[in-house]
Amino acid sequence: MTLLTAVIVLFVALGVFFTLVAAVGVLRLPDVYTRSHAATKADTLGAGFTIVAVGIYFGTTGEILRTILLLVFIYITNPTAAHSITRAAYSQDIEVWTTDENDTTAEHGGDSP
Amino acid sequence: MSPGRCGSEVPTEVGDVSDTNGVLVPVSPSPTLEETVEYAVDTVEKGDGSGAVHLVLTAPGHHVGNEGLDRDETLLSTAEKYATGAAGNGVSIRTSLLGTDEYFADPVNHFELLVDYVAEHDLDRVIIDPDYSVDATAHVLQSMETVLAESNIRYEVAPVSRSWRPTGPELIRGGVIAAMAFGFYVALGGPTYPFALWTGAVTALITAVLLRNVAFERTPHVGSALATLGRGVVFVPYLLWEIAKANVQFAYVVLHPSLPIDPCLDRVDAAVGDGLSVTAFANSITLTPGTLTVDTVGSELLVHSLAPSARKDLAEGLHERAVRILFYGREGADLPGPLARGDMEPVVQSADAVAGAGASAEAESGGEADD
Repeated sequence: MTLLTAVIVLFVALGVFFTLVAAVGVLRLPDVYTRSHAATKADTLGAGFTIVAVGIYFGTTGEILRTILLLVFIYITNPTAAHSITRAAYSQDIEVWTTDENDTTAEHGGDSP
Repeated sequence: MSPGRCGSEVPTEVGDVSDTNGVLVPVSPSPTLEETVEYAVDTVEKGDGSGAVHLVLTAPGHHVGNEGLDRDETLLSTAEKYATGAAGNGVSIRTSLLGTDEYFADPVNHFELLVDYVAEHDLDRVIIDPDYSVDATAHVLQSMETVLAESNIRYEVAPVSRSWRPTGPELIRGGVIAAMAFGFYVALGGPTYPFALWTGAVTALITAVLLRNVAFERTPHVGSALATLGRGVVFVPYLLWEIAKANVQFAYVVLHPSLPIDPCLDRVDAAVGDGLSVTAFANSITLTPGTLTVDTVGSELLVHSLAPSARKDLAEGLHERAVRILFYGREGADLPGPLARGDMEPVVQSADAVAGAGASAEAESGGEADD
Protein backbone atom coordinates (compact mmCIF):
# COMPACT_ATOMS: atom_id res chain seq x y z
CA MET A 1 0.00 0.00 0.00
CA THR A 2 1.84 3.00 -1.27
CA LEU A 3 0.94 6.63 -0.81
CA LEU A 4 -0.41 6.68 -4.36
CA THR A 5 -2.80 3.84 -3.59
CA ALA A 6 -3.95 5.66 -0.47
CA VAL A 7 -4.69 8.80 -2.51
CA ILE A 8 -6.60 6.75 -5.08
CA VAL A 9 -8.63 5.05 -2.35
CA LEU A 10 -9.37 8.43 -0.78
CA PHE A 11 -10.69 9.85 -4.04
CA VAL A 12 -12.78 6.75 -4.77
CA ALA A 13 -14.19 6.89 -1.24
CA LEU A 14 -15.12 10.58 -1.66
CA GLY A 15 -16.71 9.74 -5.00
CA VAL A 16 -18.74 6.95 -3.46
CA PHE A 17 -19.78 9.19 -0.57
CA PHE A 18 -21.15 11.98 -2.78
CA THR A 19 -22.86 9.52 -5.10
CA LEU A 20 -24.49 7.98 -2.04
CA VAL A 21 -25.60 11.45 -0.92
CA ALA A 22 -27.15 11.91 -4.36
CA ALA A 23 -29.04 8.63 -4.03
CA VAL A 24 -30.27 9.49 -0.53
CA GLY A 25 -31.28 12.92 -1.79
CA VAL A 26 -33.36 11.47 -4.62
CA LEU A 27 -35.21 9.32 -2.09
CA ARG A 28 -35.70 11.93 0.60
CA LEU A 29 -36.45 15.16 -1.24
CA PRO A 30 -40.10 15.98 -1.90
CA ASP A 31 -40.60 16.91 -5.58
CA VAL A 32 -39.11 16.69 -9.06
CA TYR A 33 -37.24 19.99 -8.78
CA THR A 34 -35.55 19.28 -5.49
CA ARG A 35 -34.85 15.71 -6.56
CA SER A 36 -33.11 16.79 -9.70
CA HIS A 37 -30.86 18.94 -7.52
CA ALA A 38 -29.75 15.69 -5.94
CA ALA A 39 -29.73 13.51 -9.02
CA THR A 40 -27.51 15.73 -11.08
CA LYS A 41 -25.21 17.58 -8.77
CA ALA A 42 -23.94 15.61 -5.85
CA ASP A 43 -23.47 13.14 -8.65
CA THR A 44 -21.29 15.61 -10.52
CA LEU A 45 -18.85 15.84 -7.65
CA GLY A 46 -19.05 12.09 -7.05
CA ALA A 47 -18.23 11.34 -10.67
CA GLY A 48 -15.55 14.03 -10.56
CA PHE A 49 -13.71 12.41 -7.63
CA THR A 50 -13.99 8.96 -9.17
CA ILE A 51 -12.60 10.15 -12.48
CA VAL A 52 -9.71 11.91 -10.75
CA ALA A 53 -8.95 8.57 -9.07
CA VAL A 54 -9.01 6.84 -12.46
CA GLY A 55 -6.66 9.45 -13.90
CA ILE A 56 -4.19 9.00 -11.05
CA TYR A 57 -4.39 5.22 -11.33
CA PHE A 58 -3.49 5.12 -15.02
CA GLY A 59 -1.07 8.00 -14.73
CA THR A 60 0.02 8.30 -18.37
CA THR A 61 -0.36 11.63 -20.17
CA GLY A 62 -2.80 10.27 -22.73
CA GLU A 63 -5.06 8.71 -20.13
CA ILE A 64 -5.04 11.81 -17.93
CA LEU A 65 -5.94 13.95 -20.93
CA ARG A 66 -8.84 11.65 -21.72
CA THR A 67 -10.13 11.59 -18.15
CA ILE A 68 -10.01 15.40 -18.10
CA LEU A 69 -12.07 15.41 -21.30
CA LEU A 70 -14.52 13.02 -19.65
CA LEU A 71 -14.81 15.41 -16.74
CA VAL A 72 -15.35 18.37 -19.05
CA PHE A 73 -18.20 16.60 -20.80
CA ILE A 74 -19.82 15.51 -17.55
CA TYR A 75 -19.67 19.10 -16.35
CA ILE A 76 -21.33 20.33 -19.51
CA THR A 77 -23.97 17.64 -19.98
CA ASN A 78 -24.99 17.20 -16.36
CA PRO A 79 -26.40 20.71 -15.75
CA THR A 80 -27.91 20.63 -19.23
CA ALA A 81 -29.77 17.41 -18.42
CA ALA A 82 -30.97 18.81 -15.08
CA HIS A 83 -32.14 21.92 -16.86
CA SER A 84 -34.07 20.02 -19.51
CA ILE A 85 -35.74 17.71 -17.01
CA THR A 86 -36.92 20.52 -14.76
CA ARG A 87 -37.85 22.65 -17.74
CA ALA A 88 -40.08 19.86 -18.99
CA ALA A 89 -41.59 19.56 -15.52
CA TYR A 90 -42.18 23.30 -15.32
CA SER A 91 -43.83 23.46 -18.72
CA GLN A 92 -46.14 20.64 -17.60
CA ASP A 93 -47.19 22.94 -14.72
CA ILE A 94 -45.86 20.65 -12.05
CA GLU A 95 -46.08 22.64 -8.86
CA VAL A 96 -43.06 23.67 -6.92
CA TRP A 97 -43.05 22.15 -3.46
CA THR A 98 -42.64 24.68 -0.66
CA THR A 99 -42.46 24.37 3.09
CA ASP A 100 -46.06 25.67 3.28
CA GLU A 101 -47.36 22.39 1.91
CA ASN A 102 -45.59 20.55 4.65
CA ASP A 103 -47.16 22.85 7.25
CA THR A 104 -50.73 22.42 6.08
CA THR A 105 -50.55 18.66 6.17
CA ALA A 106 -49.03 18.83 9.63
CA GLU A 107 -50.42 20.77 12.58
CA HIS A 108 -50.07 24.42 11.37
CA GLY A 109 -52.76 24.60 8.71
CA GLY A 110 -55.29 27.29 8.11
CA ASP A 111 -53.96 30.78 7.48
CA SER A 112 -53.29 30.41 3.77
CA PRO A 113 -56.36 30.95 1.55
CA MET B 1 -38.72 50.80 -61.23
CA SER B 2 -37.99 51.03 -64.93
CA PRO B 3 -34.70 52.65 -65.75
CA GLY B 4 -36.37 55.11 -68.11
CA ARG B 5 -37.93 57.09 -65.25
CA CYS B 6 -34.99 59.16 -64.26
CA GLY B 7 -36.19 62.75 -64.42
CA SER B 8 -35.81 63.62 -60.82
CA GLU B 9 -36.36 67.39 -61.16
CA VAL B 10 -39.86 66.86 -62.54
CA PRO B 11 -42.34 66.65 -59.69
CA THR B 12 -43.93 63.56 -61.11
CA GLU B 13 -46.69 61.30 -60.02
CA VAL B 14 -47.58 61.12 -56.40
CA GLY B 15 -48.14 57.34 -56.23
CA ASP B 16 -46.30 55.24 -53.76
CA VAL B 17 -43.02 57.00 -54.26
CA SER B 18 -43.48 60.57 -53.14
CA ASP B 19 -44.46 59.69 -49.62
CA THR B 20 -41.27 57.71 -49.48
CA ASN B 21 -39.46 58.51 -46.35
CA GLY B 22 -36.75 56.20 -47.42
CA VAL B 23 -35.68 52.63 -47.42
CA LEU B 24 -34.17 50.45 -44.79
CA VAL B 25 -31.15 48.28 -45.38
CA PRO B 26 -30.38 45.75 -42.66
CA VAL B 27 -26.62 45.68 -42.36
CA SER B 28 -24.67 42.50 -41.83
CA PRO B 29 -21.07 41.56 -42.51
CA SER B 30 -21.65 40.03 -45.90
CA PRO B 31 -19.59 40.18 -49.10
CA THR B 32 -22.50 41.70 -50.99
CA LEU B 33 -23.07 44.55 -48.54
CA GLU B 34 -21.53 47.17 -50.82
CA GLU B 35 -23.67 46.22 -53.81
CA THR B 36 -26.80 46.08 -51.69
CA VAL B 37 -26.19 49.53 -50.24
CA GLU B 38 -25.50 50.92 -53.71
CA TYR B 39 -28.70 49.35 -54.99
CA ALA B 40 -30.65 50.92 -52.12
CA VAL B 41 -29.19 54.36 -52.83
CA ASP B 42 -30.06 53.86 -56.47
CA THR B 43 -33.64 52.95 -55.63
CA VAL B 44 -34.12 56.12 -53.60
CA GLU B 45 -32.60 58.26 -56.32
CA LYS B 46 -34.86 56.69 -58.94
CA GLY B 47 -37.81 57.51 -56.72
CA ASP B 48 -38.22 61.18 -55.87
CA GLY B 49 -34.60 61.37 -54.91
CA SER B 50 -35.23 62.97 -51.56
CA GLY B 51 -35.69 59.99 -49.31
CA ALA B 52 -33.20 58.66 -46.91
CA VAL B 53 -31.33 55.39 -46.84
CA HIS B 54 -31.46 53.97 -43.35
CA LEU B 55 -28.63 51.61 -42.62
CA VAL B 56 -29.61 49.61 -39.57
CA LEU B 57 -27.57 47.10 -37.67
CA THR B 58 -29.21 44.98 -35.01
CA ALA B 59 -26.51 44.27 -32.50
CA PRO B 60 -27.83 42.84 -29.28
CA GLY B 61 -25.54 41.46 -26.64
CA HIS B 62 -23.86 44.57 -25.32
CA HIS B 63 -25.78 44.51 -22.10
CA VAL B 64 -22.95 45.92 -20.08
CA GLY B 65 -19.71 44.59 -21.42
CA ASN B 66 -19.50 46.57 -24.67
CA GLU B 67 -17.90 43.44 -26.05
CA GLY B 68 -17.65 43.81 -29.79
CA LEU B 69 -19.46 47.13 -29.88
CA ASP B 70 -16.61 48.81 -31.72
CA ARG B 71 -16.67 46.03 -34.33
CA ASP B 72 -20.34 46.77 -34.97
CA GLU B 73 -19.65 50.48 -35.19
CA THR B 74 -16.88 49.84 -37.71
CA LEU B 75 -19.20 47.71 -39.81
CA LEU B 76 -21.84 50.40 -39.75
CA SER B 77 -19.44 53.15 -40.75
CA THR B 78 -18.14 50.97 -43.58
CA ALA B 79 -21.71 50.62 -44.84
CA GLU B 80 -22.13 54.37 -44.50
CA LYS B 81 -18.98 54.94 -46.53
CA TYR B 82 -20.35 52.74 -49.33
CA ALA B 83 -23.61 54.67 -49.25
CA THR B 84 -22.12 58.17 -49.29
CA GLY B 85 -19.82 57.05 -52.08
CA ALA B 86 -22.81 56.06 -54.20
CA ALA B 87 -25.25 58.77 -53.18
CA GLY B 88 -25.90 61.94 -55.12
CA ASN B 89 -27.45 65.08 -53.67
CA GLY B 90 -30.70 64.79 -51.85
CA VAL B 91 -30.27 61.26 -50.63
CA SER B 92 -29.46 61.35 -46.99
CA ILE B 93 -27.86 58.47 -45.21
CA ARG B 94 -28.78 57.55 -41.68
CA THR B 95 -27.29 54.83 -39.60
CA SER B 96 -28.42 53.33 -36.36
CA LEU B 97 -27.55 50.53 -34.04
CA LEU B 98 -30.53 48.76 -32.50
CA GLY B 99 -31.04 46.56 -29.52
CA THR B 100 -27.63 47.00 -27.97
CA ASP B 101 -28.96 46.56 -24.45
CA GLU B 102 -30.82 43.34 -25.08
CA TYR B 103 -29.99 39.71 -25.62
CA PHE B 104 -31.84 37.73 -28.26
CA ALA B 105 -31.88 33.98 -28.48
CA ASP B 106 -33.92 34.01 -31.66
CA PRO B 107 -33.14 35.72 -34.98
CA VAL B 108 -36.81 36.64 -35.26
CA ASN B 109 -36.24 39.18 -32.46
CA HIS B 110 -33.81 40.96 -34.75
CA PHE B 111 -36.43 41.21 -37.46
CA GLU B 112 -39.00 42.52 -35.02
CA LEU B 113 -36.62 45.35 -34.18
CA LEU B 114 -36.42 46.14 -37.88
CA VAL B 115 -40.20 46.05 -38.21
CA ASP B 116 -40.55 48.50 -35.33
CA TYR B 117 -37.96 50.75 -36.91
CA VAL B 118 -39.79 50.75 -40.23
CA ALA B 119 -43.06 51.63 -38.52
CA GLU B 120 -41.47 54.34 -36.43
CA HIS B 121 -39.83 56.09 -39.36
CA ASP B 122 -42.65 55.33 -41.78
CA LEU B 123 -40.28 53.86 -44.32
CA ASP B 124 -41.31 52.77 -47.75
CA ARG B 125 -39.61 49.42 -48.03
CA VAL B 126 -36.85 47.16 -46.86
CA ILE B 127 -34.04 46.20 -49.16
CA ILE B 128 -32.49 42.95 -48.16
CA ASP B 129 -28.99 41.80 -48.80
CA PRO B 130 -29.31 38.22 -50.12
CA ASP B 131 -26.37 37.26 -47.94
CA TYR B 132 -27.84 38.87 -44.84
CA SER B 133 -27.21 36.90 -41.70
CA VAL B 134 -27.51 37.60 -38.02
CA ASP B 135 -23.80 37.74 -37.44
CA ALA B 136 -22.37 34.24 -37.37
CA THR B 137 -25.53 32.25 -37.85
CA ALA B 138 -26.55 30.62 -41.09
CA HIS B 139 -28.50 32.66 -43.56
CA VAL B 140 -31.92 33.55 -42.28
CA LEU B 141 -33.40 35.22 -45.31
CA GLN B 142 -36.50 33.10 -45.45
CA SER B 143 -37.63 33.70 -41.89
CA MET B 144 -36.89 37.39 -42.31
CA GLU B 145 -39.11 37.53 -45.39
CA THR B 146 -41.85 35.77 -43.45
CA VAL B 147 -41.72 38.31 -40.62
CA LEU B 148 -41.72 41.25 -43.03
CA ALA B 149 -44.60 39.81 -45.05
CA GLU B 150 -46.63 39.22 -41.90
CA SER B 151 -46.13 42.84 -40.88
CA ASN B 152 -47.21 44.05 -44.33
CA ILE B 153 -43.90 45.67 -45.04
CA ARG B 154 -42.73 45.84 -48.61
CA TYR B 155 -39.38 44.32 -49.19
CA GLU B 156 -37.18 43.31 -52.04
CA VAL B 157 -34.05 41.30 -52.25
CA ALA B 158 -31.29 43.32 -53.85
CA PRO B 159 -30.22 41.89 -57.20
CA VAL B 160 -26.52 41.49 -56.57
CA SER B 161 -24.00 39.17 -58.05
CA ARG B 162 -23.26 36.45 -55.58
CA SER B 163 -20.12 34.46 -55.32
CA TRP B 164 -19.08 31.39 -53.42
CA ARG B 165 -15.98 33.06 -52.09
CA PRO B 166 -15.93 32.71 -48.31
CA THR B 167 -15.75 35.96 -46.39
CA GLY B 168 -13.06 36.82 -43.87
CA PRO B 169 -15.21 36.07 -40.81
CA GLU B 170 -16.25 32.77 -42.37
CA LEU B 171 -12.61 31.82 -42.80
CA ILE B 172 -11.88 32.71 -39.18
CA ARG B 173 -14.80 30.65 -37.90
CA GLY B 174 -13.97 27.74 -40.18
CA GLY B 175 -10.32 27.84 -39.12
CA VAL B 176 -11.20 27.84 -35.43
CA ILE B 177 -13.59 24.93 -35.89
CA ALA B 178 -11.05 22.93 -37.92
CA ALA B 179 -8.35 23.50 -35.29
CA MET B 180 -10.68 22.50 -32.46
CA ALA B 181 -11.99 19.43 -34.26
CA PHE B 182 -8.51 18.24 -35.15
CA GLY B 183 -7.19 18.91 -31.65
CA PHE B 184 -10.08 16.95 -30.15
CA TYR B 185 -9.50 14.06 -32.54
CA VAL B 186 -5.82 13.87 -31.67
CA ALA B 187 -6.48 14.17 -27.94
CA LEU B 188 -9.11 11.46 -27.98
CA GLY B 189 -7.61 8.95 -30.37
CA GLY B 190 -3.91 9.74 -30.11
CA PRO B 191 -3.14 8.69 -33.70
CA THR B 192 0.54 8.59 -34.60
CA TYR B 193 0.77 7.19 -38.12
CA PRO B 194 0.37 9.52 -41.14
CA PHE B 195 -2.76 7.93 -42.58
CA ALA B 196 -4.76 8.60 -39.40
CA LEU B 197 -3.48 12.16 -39.20
CA TRP B 198 -4.35 12.87 -42.83
CA THR B 199 -7.84 11.46 -42.62
CA GLY B 200 -8.30 13.37 -39.36
CA ALA B 201 -7.28 16.60 -41.04
CA VAL B 202 -9.67 15.99 -43.94
CA THR B 203 -12.51 15.26 -41.52
CA ALA B 204 -11.73 18.43 -39.56
CA LEU B 205 -11.85 20.41 -42.79
CA ILE B 206 -15.23 18.97 -43.76
CA THR B 207 -16.55 19.77 -40.29
CA ALA B 208 -15.30 23.32 -40.62
CA VAL B 209 -16.97 23.82 -43.99
CA LEU B 210 -20.28 22.41 -42.77
CA LEU B 211 -20.41 24.18 -39.42
CA ARG B 212 -18.79 27.54 -40.21
CA ASN B 213 -22.11 29.34 -39.98
CA VAL B 214 -23.59 27.22 -37.22
CA ALA B 215 -21.10 26.71 -34.42
CA PHE B 216 -20.56 30.31 -33.32
CA GLU B 217 -22.96 32.99 -32.32
CA ARG B 218 -20.46 35.72 -33.04
CA THR B 219 -17.25 35.49 -34.97
CA PRO B 220 -14.55 34.80 -32.41
CA HIS B 221 -12.12 37.60 -31.88
CA VAL B 222 -8.59 36.42 -31.18
CA GLY B 223 -7.80 39.04 -28.52
CA SER B 224 -10.92 38.69 -26.43
CA ALA B 225 -11.04 34.91 -26.92
CA LEU B 226 -7.50 34.60 -25.54
CA ALA B 227 -8.35 36.92 -22.65
CA THR B 228 -11.43 34.84 -21.82
CA LEU B 229 -9.37 31.66 -22.05
CA GLY B 230 -6.77 33.14 -19.72
CA ARG B 231 -9.38 34.19 -17.17
CA GLY B 232 -10.92 30.72 -17.55
CA VAL B 233 -7.77 29.31 -15.97
CA VAL B 234 -8.79 31.17 -12.81
CA PHE B 235 -12.53 30.67 -13.27
CA VAL B 236 -12.50 26.88 -13.53
CA PRO B 237 -10.70 26.19 -10.22
CA TYR B 238 -12.92 28.82 -8.57
CA LEU B 239 -16.02 27.10 -9.92
CA LEU B 240 -14.71 23.67 -8.84
CA TRP B 241 -14.07 25.05 -5.35
CA GLU B 242 -17.59 26.53 -5.20
CA ILE B 243 -19.03 23.20 -6.37
CA ALA B 244 -17.11 21.27 -3.72
CA LYS B 245 -18.10 23.72 -0.98
CA ALA B 246 -21.75 23.74 -1.93
CA ASN B 247 -21.76 19.95 -2.22
CA VAL B 248 -20.68 19.63 1.39
CA GLN B 249 -23.57 21.91 2.39
CA PHE B 250 -25.87 19.87 0.21
CA ALA B 251 -24.73 16.62 1.83
CA TYR B 252 -25.43 18.18 5.23
CA VAL B 253 -28.95 19.19 4.21
CA VAL B 254 -29.80 15.83 2.64
CA LEU B 255 -28.41 13.75 5.48
CA HIS B 256 -29.87 15.94 8.24
CA PRO B 257 -32.76 14.10 9.95
CA SER B 258 -35.22 17.00 9.64
CA LEU B 259 -34.30 17.81 6.00
CA PRO B 260 -33.97 21.62 6.43
CA ILE B 261 -34.98 22.80 2.96
CA ASP B 262 -37.03 25.81 1.87
CA PRO B 263 -37.39 25.69 -1.93
CA CYS B 264 -38.08 28.89 -3.85
CA LEU B 265 -38.43 29.79 -7.49
CA ASP B 266 -37.10 33.15 -8.66
CA ARG B 267 -36.92 34.99 -11.93
CA VAL B 268 -33.50 36.51 -12.45
CA ASP B 269 -32.53 38.85 -15.26
CA ALA B 270 -28.86 38.14 -15.80
CA ALA B 271 -26.54 40.99 -16.69
CA VAL B 272 -24.70 38.98 -19.30
CA GLY B 273 -24.74 39.57 -22.99
CA ASP B 274 -24.78 36.67 -25.42
CA GLY B 275 -25.59 33.01 -25.79
CA LEU B 276 -22.27 31.74 -24.51
CA SER B 277 -22.21 33.86 -21.36
CA VAL B 278 -25.86 33.16 -20.58
CA THR B 279 -25.16 29.44 -20.98
CA ALA B 280 -22.08 29.68 -18.77
CA PHE B 281 -24.10 31.56 -16.16
CA ALA B 282 -27.05 29.15 -16.27
CA ASN B 283 -24.81 26.10 -16.11
CA SER B 284 -22.68 27.45 -13.28
CA ILE B 285 -25.90 28.09 -11.35
CA THR B 286 -27.00 24.52 -11.98
CA LEU B 287 -23.60 23.03 -11.17
CA THR B 288 -23.47 24.69 -7.79
CA PRO B 289 -25.73 22.53 -5.66
CA GLY B 290 -28.62 24.38 -4.12
CA THR B 291 -29.56 26.30 -7.24
CA LEU B 292 -30.96 25.01 -10.51
CA THR B 293 -31.82 26.81 -13.73
CA VAL B 294 -35.30 25.67 -14.70
CA ASP B 295 -36.00 27.80 -17.74
CA THR B 296 -34.45 30.60 -19.76
CA VAL B 297 -36.01 33.26 -21.92
CA GLY B 298 -33.29 35.39 -23.43
CA SER B 299 -31.21 36.53 -20.50
CA GLU B 300 -34.02 35.89 -18.02
CA LEU B 301 -33.50 32.76 -15.99
CA LEU B 302 -35.94 30.91 -13.82
CA VAL B 303 -33.95 29.60 -10.91
CA HIS B 304 -35.04 27.04 -8.35
CA SER B 305 -33.19 27.20 -5.06
CA LEU B 306 -33.19 24.54 -2.41
CA ALA B 307 -32.26 26.48 0.68
CA PRO B 308 -32.07 30.14 1.76
CA SER B 309 -28.26 30.17 1.75
CA ALA B 310 -28.10 29.15 -1.92
CA ARG B 311 -30.75 31.72 -2.73
CA LYS B 312 -28.76 34.41 -0.97
CA ASP B 313 -25.67 33.59 -3.05
CA LEU B 314 -27.78 33.99 -6.16
CA ALA B 315 -29.32 37.27 -5.00
CA GLU B 316 -25.91 38.70 -4.24
CA GLY B 317 -24.68 37.79 -7.69
CA LEU B 318 -21.97 35.32 -6.68
CA HIS B 319 -22.16 33.31 -9.92
CA GLU B 320 -23.01 36.30 -12.01
CA ARG B 321 -19.91 38.18 -10.90
CA ALA B 322 -17.68 35.21 -11.69
CA VAL B 323 -19.16 34.83 -15.17
CA ARG B 324 -18.93 38.56 -15.80
CA ILE B 325 -15.27 38.58 -14.81
CA LEU B 326 -14.76 35.62 -17.14
CA PHE B 327 -16.22 37.37 -20.16
CA TYR B 328 -15.74 41.08 -19.50
CA GLY B 329 -12.62 41.27 -17.37
CA ARG B 330 -12.10 42.80 -13.99
CA GLU B 331 -14.36 45.83 -14.45
CA GLY B 332 -17.25 43.41 -15.02
CA ALA B 333 -17.31 42.75 -11.29
CA ASP B 334 -18.40 46.29 -10.42
CA LEU B 335 -22.10 45.57 -10.49
CA PRO B 336 -24.47 44.98 -7.61
CA GLY B 337 -26.21 41.61 -7.39
CA PRO B 338 -29.54 40.93 -9.15
CA LEU B 339 -31.55 41.64 -6.00
CA ALA B 340 -29.98 45.05 -5.40
CA ARG B 341 -30.42 45.90 -9.11
CA GLY B 342 -34.10 44.93 -8.96
CA ASP B 343 -33.57 42.18 -11.52
CA MET B 344 -34.77 39.39 -9.24
CA GLU B 345 -38.36 38.62 -8.38
CA PRO B 346 -39.80 35.63 -6.59
CA VAL B 347 -42.23 33.42 -8.50
CA VAL B 348 -42.94 30.77 -5.91
CA GLN B 349 -41.84 31.04 -2.32
CA SER B 350 -42.98 29.75 1.02
CA ALA B 351 -44.57 31.88 3.70
CA ASP B 352 -41.40 31.51 5.75
CA ALA B 353 -39.27 32.92 2.94
CA VAL B 354 -41.68 35.85 2.50
CA ALA B 355 -41.45 36.58 6.21
CA GLY B 356 -37.68 36.30 6.08
CA ALA B 357 -37.39 38.63 3.08
CA GLY B 358 -39.80 41.09 4.69
CA ALA B 359 -37.79 41.12 7.87
CA SER B 360 -34.52 41.74 6.09
CA ALA B 361 -36.09 44.44 3.94
CA GLU B 362 -37.36 46.15 7.08
CA ALA B 363 -33.95 45.91 8.61
CA GLU B 364 -32.43 47.54 5.55
CA SER B 365 -34.81 50.26 4.52
CA GLY B 366 -37.42 50.67 7.21
CA GLY B 367 -40.04 48.36 5.88
CA GLU B 368 -42.20 47.99 2.84
CA ALA B 369 -43.14 44.40 3.41
CA ASP B 370 -45.91 43.42 1.07
CA ASP B 371 -47.40 39.96 1.16
